[in-house]
Amino acid sequence: MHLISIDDLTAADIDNLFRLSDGFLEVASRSIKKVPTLRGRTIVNVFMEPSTRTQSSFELAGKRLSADVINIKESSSSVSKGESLKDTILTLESYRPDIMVMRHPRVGASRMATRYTDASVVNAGDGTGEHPTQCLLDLYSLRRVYGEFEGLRVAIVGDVLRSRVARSDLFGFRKMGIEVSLVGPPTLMPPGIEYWGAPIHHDLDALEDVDVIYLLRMQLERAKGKVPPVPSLREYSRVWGLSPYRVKAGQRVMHPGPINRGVELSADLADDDRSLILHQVESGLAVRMAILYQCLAGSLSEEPTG
Amino acid sequence: MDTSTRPSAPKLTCRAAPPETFVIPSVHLFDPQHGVDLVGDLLVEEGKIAGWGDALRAPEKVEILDDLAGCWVFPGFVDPHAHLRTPGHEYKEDLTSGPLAAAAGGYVAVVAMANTDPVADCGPVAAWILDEAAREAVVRVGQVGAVSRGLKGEELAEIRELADAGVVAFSDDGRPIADADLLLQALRYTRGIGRPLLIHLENRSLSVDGVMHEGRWSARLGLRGVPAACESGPLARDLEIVRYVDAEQKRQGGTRGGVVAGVAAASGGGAVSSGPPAAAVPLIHFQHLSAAASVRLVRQAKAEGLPITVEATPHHLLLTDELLTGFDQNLKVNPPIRSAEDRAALVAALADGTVDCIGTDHAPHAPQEKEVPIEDALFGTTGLETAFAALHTGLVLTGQLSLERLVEAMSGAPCRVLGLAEPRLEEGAPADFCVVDLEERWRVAPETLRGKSRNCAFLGETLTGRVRLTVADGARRFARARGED
Repeated sequence: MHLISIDDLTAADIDNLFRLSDGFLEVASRSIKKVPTLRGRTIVNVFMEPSTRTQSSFELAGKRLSADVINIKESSSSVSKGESLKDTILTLESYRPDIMVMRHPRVGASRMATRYTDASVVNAGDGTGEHPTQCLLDLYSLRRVYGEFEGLRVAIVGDVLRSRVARSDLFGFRKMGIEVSLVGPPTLMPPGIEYWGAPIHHDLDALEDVDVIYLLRMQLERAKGKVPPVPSLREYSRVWGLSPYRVKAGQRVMHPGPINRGVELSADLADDDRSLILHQVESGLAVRMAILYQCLAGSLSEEPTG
Repeated sequence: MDTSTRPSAPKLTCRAAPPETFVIPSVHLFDPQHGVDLVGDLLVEEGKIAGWGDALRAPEKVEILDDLAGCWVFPGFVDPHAHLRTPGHEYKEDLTSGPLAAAAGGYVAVVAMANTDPVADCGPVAAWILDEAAREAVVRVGQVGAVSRGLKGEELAEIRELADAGVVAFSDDGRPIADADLLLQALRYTRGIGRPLLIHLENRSLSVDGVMHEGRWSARLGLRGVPAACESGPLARDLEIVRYVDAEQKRQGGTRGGVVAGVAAASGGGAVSSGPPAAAVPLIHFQHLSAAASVRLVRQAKAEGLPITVEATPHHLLLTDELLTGFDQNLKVNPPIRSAEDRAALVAALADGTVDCIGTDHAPHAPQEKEVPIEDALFGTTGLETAFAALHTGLVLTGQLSLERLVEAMSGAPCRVLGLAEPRLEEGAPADFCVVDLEERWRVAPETLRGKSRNCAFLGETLTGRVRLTVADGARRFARARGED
């Protein structure tokens, strides 16, 4: 099984994944946090774009499942010598890995990789395309906090245009029955997103009626060659930056990280106990263990946490 | 604490004046758009229009302005396009002289472009201008914010901050928006702010070093020409972008409208209260249209229902390129005065509403900037003080345009372009009107002009129709005795 897009999973698949995640979350609370489930299996993490959370989360998930994990990073790989993505994948395929986890700055790179390997490919973020495992860990955090998805209202705020997280979250959250709206400057809404039916708002006043405010980072590094969609970070944070007084009692704040304090959220809000940012990271490890397990489920005989 | 992040309303500011009470006997009250066309006495009480008719019950000892009998009263004019040159070029015009020139032309509000120095491309500059106008201006000044930082056409100015400072619209006027992506982003970014982009059309690769309309007379005179396609070309592109964005915004739902403020609702100290919700403002208002080819494109676009509006200047509506044979530098304007055919198309378009309103493009320059060979002279003519008289003389008295349409195009129409409440002759409405002697003839001479600069394309012309009184924001702001210059 590959996991390239959140649309590769049905709601039932996701529910199943979260039942597995519950078990792995319990493992993380033990003093010995390792299970033998993927002993003898090989996982290659190919990270062609900087990452703290996703890379460490996948690496640790593989290790806690007792798999052999190797990490390829752009800065220390042959990519810096001009090697093509195709050749990198073909080279790694020679080791006959079971799972290839891939982060790449170009949309569709993970799907392309599936053509050159027999391993299960997991998309750990492809440019402005998708980030399905982020969506799954976000959902898992919501499930842990709220118990169920039905009726939850989430506003995704900010740079939706260039966010792979927003793309996976919008479609993944709605799959589970969550009402999703998009909030931010009109220039940060992807043209054509209105065809997909999510309500679009341009002012933070629209946050009044939601349960969860999901903030996104301004991805200035993806602005090349275009007129920047907002005039300045100063104006962005003045109009669309979130600070504690704009968060109502009972509302929760999420963010995929990395956060830019003082831009999309104020420093004190980042540290506020209404923020689920670190809770998301914790969920990420359990969910990724479940994903790695599920990728190979057909060929495994043991129960995951046995 | 106000936690709303909605943009605040536009502001128009002028010097505060105590609301006045007076009667003007025997005048022709003419505001057909709002159903008023009658002869009678007009009572202004406490700065508001209190009533009219033959047997007014005026308060005791009320002041009677009895030298205006026989004059016409129009709802005050609003100019969507002027250069008040402040800050930075106060030697050409400032916030005292510009609004005074406006008042002398019957205007109760004037909108200043952003090409100042520093450029009005951030909140503090716009706020400073509006504060300064609140101290100095005799009639209201609305300020335009730049679309792009420094008018460079590269990246967006801080448009939300400008909106919160009170600007009425956004424009890089004086320069085109050459980058199509910038225009697209600006149209999207201003959504929800409820203020239009005012667009100066010019393909700079066609206008480079051009002095006048490219055609018969540029060939005869040897002056470098600016072809009509310099305007109609970018217009066609912009209409395509408007069509695209309009469809996108309709799919997304909601309205384009923002917070509505009124010319008529502004008070002298700078406060603006919300007026009645106006129809949504256009996505783009095209400035100073000059060419028949452009008129054709606009007519098609409007038939299709695209959210655009258009202005024309008095000089483009009245003058033709043949006049350049005199090498009068005051006729060097951008876009250029065009051919007789272009002029005729513009006049017909104004008459049938394809051209919505009059904008003067009042562009004052100092003598040293004009008294040079025409190829070196700066572009622009003043316009505020001559707009009504010139159009009345050249179009109304010659039967090419109705007086009703002229008044509408100078008062209500520009307000609808900008989403401002219209001045109206209506009981209870704020007194925002001008009183005009439609028979007085006067010769436009430098000493008849109140503005700081005298580079007027109509110098030397004899015009019929003279503004005798301008009442703005409930007080008399300008008065001229019969026959006075």
